[in-house]
Amino acid sequence: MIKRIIIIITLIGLSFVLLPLFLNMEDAERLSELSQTYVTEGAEELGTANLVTAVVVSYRGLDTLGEVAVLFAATAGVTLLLGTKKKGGSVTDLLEERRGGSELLNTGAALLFPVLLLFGAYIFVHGHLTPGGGFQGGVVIASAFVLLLFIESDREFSHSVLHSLEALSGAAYVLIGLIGLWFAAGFLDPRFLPSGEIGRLLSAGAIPLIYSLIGIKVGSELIGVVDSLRRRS
Amino acid sequence: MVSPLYILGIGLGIAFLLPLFEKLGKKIPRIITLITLMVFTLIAVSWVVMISGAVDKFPVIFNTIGFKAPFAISLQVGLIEALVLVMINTAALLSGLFLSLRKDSHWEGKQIVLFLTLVIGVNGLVLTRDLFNLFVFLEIVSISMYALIASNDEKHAYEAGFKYLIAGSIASAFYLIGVIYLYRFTGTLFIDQIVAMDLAALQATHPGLVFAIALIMLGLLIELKPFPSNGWAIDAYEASDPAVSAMISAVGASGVVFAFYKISSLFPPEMAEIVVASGAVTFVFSQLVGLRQKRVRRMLGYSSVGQIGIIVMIIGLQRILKIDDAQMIMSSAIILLGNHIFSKAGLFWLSDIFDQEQLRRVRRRPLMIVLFGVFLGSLAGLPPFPAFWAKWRMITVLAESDKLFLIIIILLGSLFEAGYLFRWFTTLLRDESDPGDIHEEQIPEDIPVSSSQTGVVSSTRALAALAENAGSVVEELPVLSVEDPTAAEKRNPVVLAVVAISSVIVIAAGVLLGAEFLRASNELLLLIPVAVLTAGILFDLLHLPHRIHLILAMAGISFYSYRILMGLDGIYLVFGILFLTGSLIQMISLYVKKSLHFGLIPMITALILSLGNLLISTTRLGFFFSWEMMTVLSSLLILRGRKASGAGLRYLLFSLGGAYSMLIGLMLYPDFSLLLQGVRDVSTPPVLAVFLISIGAMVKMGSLGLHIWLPGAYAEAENEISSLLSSVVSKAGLFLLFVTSSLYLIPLLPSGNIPVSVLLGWIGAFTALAGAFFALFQEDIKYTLAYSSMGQVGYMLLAFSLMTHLGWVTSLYMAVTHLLFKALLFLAVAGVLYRTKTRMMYQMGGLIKRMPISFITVLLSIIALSGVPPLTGFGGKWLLYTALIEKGWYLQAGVAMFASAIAFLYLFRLIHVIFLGQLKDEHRAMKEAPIGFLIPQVVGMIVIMLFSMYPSLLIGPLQRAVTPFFSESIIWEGYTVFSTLGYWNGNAVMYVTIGVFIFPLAWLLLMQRKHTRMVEQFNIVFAAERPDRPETTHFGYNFFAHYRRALGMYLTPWATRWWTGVVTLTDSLGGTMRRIYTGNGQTYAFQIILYGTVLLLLLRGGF
Amino acid sequence: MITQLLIILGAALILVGFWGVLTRKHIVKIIISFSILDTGIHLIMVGIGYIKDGSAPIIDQEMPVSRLAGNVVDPIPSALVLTAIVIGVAVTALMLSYAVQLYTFYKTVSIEQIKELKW
Repeated sequence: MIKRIIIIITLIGLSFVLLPLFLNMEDAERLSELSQTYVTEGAEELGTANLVTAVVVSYRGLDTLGEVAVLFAATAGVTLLLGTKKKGGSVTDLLEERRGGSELLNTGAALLFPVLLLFGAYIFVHGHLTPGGGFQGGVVIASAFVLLLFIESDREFSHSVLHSLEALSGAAYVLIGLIGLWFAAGFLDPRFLPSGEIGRLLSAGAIPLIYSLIGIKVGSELIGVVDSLRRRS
Repeated sequence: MVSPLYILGIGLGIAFLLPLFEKLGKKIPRIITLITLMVFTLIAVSWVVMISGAVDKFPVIFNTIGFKAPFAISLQVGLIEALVLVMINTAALLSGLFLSLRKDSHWEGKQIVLFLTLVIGVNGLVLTRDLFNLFVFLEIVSISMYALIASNDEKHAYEAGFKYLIAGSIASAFYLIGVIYLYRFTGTLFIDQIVAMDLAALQATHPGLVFAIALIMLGLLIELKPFPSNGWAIDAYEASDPAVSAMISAVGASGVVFAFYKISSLFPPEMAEIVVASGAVTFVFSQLVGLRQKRVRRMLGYSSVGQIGIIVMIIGLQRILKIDDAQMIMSSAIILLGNHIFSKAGLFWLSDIFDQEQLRRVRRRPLMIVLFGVFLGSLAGLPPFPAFWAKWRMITVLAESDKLFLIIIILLGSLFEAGYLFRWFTTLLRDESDPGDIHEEQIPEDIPVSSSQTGVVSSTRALAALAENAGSVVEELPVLSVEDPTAAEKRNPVVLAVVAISSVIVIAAGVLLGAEFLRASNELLLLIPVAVLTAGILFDLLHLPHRIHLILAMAGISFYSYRILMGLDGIYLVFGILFLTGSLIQMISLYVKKSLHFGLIPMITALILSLGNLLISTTRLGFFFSWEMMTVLSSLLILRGRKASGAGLRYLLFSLGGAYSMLIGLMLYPDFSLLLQGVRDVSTPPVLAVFLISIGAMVKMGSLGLHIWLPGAYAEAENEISSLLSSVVSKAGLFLLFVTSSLYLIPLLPSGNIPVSVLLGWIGAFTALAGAFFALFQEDIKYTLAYSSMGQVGYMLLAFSLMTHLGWVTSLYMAVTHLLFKALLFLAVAGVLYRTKTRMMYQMGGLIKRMPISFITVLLSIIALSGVPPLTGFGGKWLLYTALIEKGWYLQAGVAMFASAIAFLYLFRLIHVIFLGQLKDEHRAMKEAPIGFLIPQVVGMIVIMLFSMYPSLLIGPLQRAVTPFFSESIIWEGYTVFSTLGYWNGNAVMYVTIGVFIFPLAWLLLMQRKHTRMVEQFNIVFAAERPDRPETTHFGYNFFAHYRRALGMYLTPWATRWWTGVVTLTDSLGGTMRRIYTGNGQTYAFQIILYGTVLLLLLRGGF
Repeated sequence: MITQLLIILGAALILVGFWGVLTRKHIVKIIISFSILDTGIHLIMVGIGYIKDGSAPIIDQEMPVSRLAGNVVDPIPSALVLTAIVIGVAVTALMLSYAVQLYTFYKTVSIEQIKELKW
């Protein structure tokens, strides 16, 4: 009890100190100078309709590459932790006997699977035009595979395919970055391809390409994560 | 110039592809990763080369996408980034090599991937100039570390990793909140742009600004493991694979440190002060807690945390100090970081090798000892390693900015760290028979008469208890009597080579830095001992024959002495002859040893050269460097003794404590350099400085109260070393006093007119008395000699502190004669011990017939030592009393006289018990000591006789040396010396004494001739001995029991008790402190949040 | 108004998250608390990016390039929050894997019983 009181006091203290950050934060009237530039010139410079994408993939492209690396490292970590030859026992003793999916689930999932794949691909291919992008698309694709696991929990995915997709898309992403360094203005510069007309699918230089690669990479990584967690249980 | 984007781009590309490369072959990813790391290192090296060619063109900003910052994320390469990356990438490369080359290496698959992402993340952390990008790289680093911790698939690793994850996630949360608010308030994430803003004005419109910065600071600070919210990190260091711990400590932490430095330019001064406090607290308390730690890797964890703490402190400081000072102190931070990277990684690797080979002892593994010593020494900041120079610079800057308190914190923490690191060293290094602590032979209160104690000497019980105690010092390394026979098969020289590279880097960096630091004052010569040591160790590793090595070393020393002594005069010359010639003669005795004694000759040579360097150093730094070298080398030499681990450790810690005390004194008193250069009209020093400097000197001399390291060190060291230490090295303290003599004339109390020297005089008098008393009750011959040395040096201190012409002449005279007779005694005894194989006096007897020359030496030296006519000692005592009475110090003269009387008692016992009485049965076939021992003895005897007959030979030059300081007070007439109180003619005294001696002797011989009857030895000697405890009836055992009983409580070892109390208190303080590390991850989380809240509240108070 | 609302909401979630981290014993609940904490931070980030009466910074018929300035929200926080979410997912995945491994070794999910390393 005393412990709780101390925790409460500490949290109250923390909120008290940080009050200047939480109170009197009115809506900003206008954009910061930096984002003003992005908004007014971004479309012209990069040819993206979705300016968030312009920021994510180009202006702050190094963040995104880092973000991909974070996810990659986390996937590697999950695999390392939950890999096959482990000293610890299994957790299966916690679980009841597994049941197969119900009729409803099986049919629904089978129906949804191709749709989800298509939807995910749509999201990352259109990342420069509409809300969404590589990460979102990748997650949707991974969710399609999670659905498959609902139907059949010991379904095996081809690891070599997953690994190859993951590795090659990642490497291709880096390669595009380097092409930017060699043939355009800088690392990750998408403008070595023509920027085209705003609003078209084939526009914004290499951004759709980058987002597609990210989509594939994220999708295959998340499938890998879910798969590792499943194998362990 | 190679773009840093290649490091990030190509690195990540390869990391992504590694799983595919694995399909080509199991070893392929390893090779590719190692090549990648090598490329990283080379790129960083190329930057350093370029930048050092054109410093003004840097730092260079590299943009991404083709937009300038702030529109796109940019990377910066300047000198500091390049240097840090060279260090980090080299360490990573070595780590990679270690991981691939070690026995049963499982370095494959995801481990390699995560290793690479960790390195890339750290590179990104160092390079990026964008706050959010920094966060992304921080997460790459953190996630890689979280996962790597678990890579050894151990229960505890998972526990530690989870705690690390919790802590890291809280830190990230703080950071992220801070970043988004900072963006809100400033409209940008580009660090340089924010720094350029008028933050104070911004603060007025946005009151939250400072808290946004504080949250960013807090996020990184927590990743840097501030005390007390760092239990999670220490768990991780302990539980993960040592090679991973090395990576976390050397590579991961360094990256975060650099990120912290980068954002430190945003800190307002109040925040910087909080950072300083946090770093200082972390440093000193981590080391304190480390003292109690018994598990090696956890201990290294505490050390890592502490090292990072001190760097954090510097990062805070450089925001507060003036710009020049800030740059100076920052450079020391970089050096400390590099020092930490390579030595900590090296220690983690070594600890892994110890585990792999199941090593409990490294005594017979020279290379291992060298590596181990190098890493420990550099972590502890001993010369000539980089941290020594860095700490010097840092402390100089702090002293100039009047931050004495921080200096004390740093030195205190360093002392703690040296304590536990070298305790580990001595534990591993000690011999099987070594109980690991001081084990002075104790005499029972009274000789037990009951027969129930058959075979059990009470002191052996004490020994057993001590051994048990010592065994528990490092639990992981229990005392094993034999090395595991399979150990040889487990040896892996390749992996040791990787570790060796790391140590070579440390040494090379240290030497280069030393050259850089000493060049300014033209003192490059002071580095000679380091060169000699390195070369000598190499010779030893290559098995250069002992005698050739010895001759080389002696030739070198002779040459050096010749060069040095030519340029010296006055008291410098006196001490020069004392240090160099004195040691050189004693080195002859090493010729007796036949086989290789690893490290012996290099260390002795370097020690002698360091002593010589004390004479020629002209700056505080040069002097302190040589002083520390001397300290370190002597303690290493002591550690060579078979049972010397406890004594060596004690010596090291006391000497370091003394040296640090002296260091603070030097910092308080910059004019010290002038003193060294012989300038005498210098400014008045602060009293504190005088005390601290004199403590430094008195520790080295073993003055009463600071002497408790002395008996063990002199007794347990090898005989040649004991002789050298007590006759030569202890005079270094005296030298320091002479050089700084003008300091001791200042008043003891601000208002009074009694100078400090009076206090020193009393200390000297009582040291003489105490030394004599302690020597009286020893059974162990070497302890007797050790305490005797302590007493003799006390006389010198007393004479010195008279601050008169005669006093100084006396002090120097005694220094020279003490060198002679103490060296003779130790050497003669060394010969005896060499033959008898025991140190207990009651196990000897009657050796006069077996070792006549040794007997004569001992006889001569004890006559000289005790101060009876006709030898040199008489002159010394005569001069001393004259000087004391002249000055009016009657009481001190009384104490000194009393002490001389006591000294006579133990000296009498010495010769009586060893050489007279009955010969032991087992010594019947014994020979005289080897010739190598005898040569220096004969030389010494001749010199003593010469000085006794013709005192002017010695006193004349000494007098001339002292004359520049005081007006003459003694007059010569032929060989007769006149003082105000009387005169002394060496010749006359000699003849009179001989006459007085010879006539009764002749009379006795004449009268007794008829009655002499030879008695068979066995008729009496064993008549009353009990076979189970023969020593209790040996006449030499507990020789002075009656005095002991009479003296009672006056013999209580107060000093030992006091110091034991200090150690116990410190230890239990550390023990209490570490209770905060409950092991519960949730408690750790709470500690972090509480820590953050407290820091923020402090900051709010500042606004 | 909206910024303030989102920030208050976010701050509340952060507190709830901290509370959970500090008081829940079940390690999975602690992990969930971290997710709540993260969500709170993300809400604040989104809130800070809001511009009065702004809409999404995407060009289409209703929002031609010329009208963008002044009518769209700040794209930078949106970009940052995207990255932050992905990183949060990565950390959560790793935490869950740790939870699995801890359970197999310690046979417990209570954080109070996982404290063999200490002092």
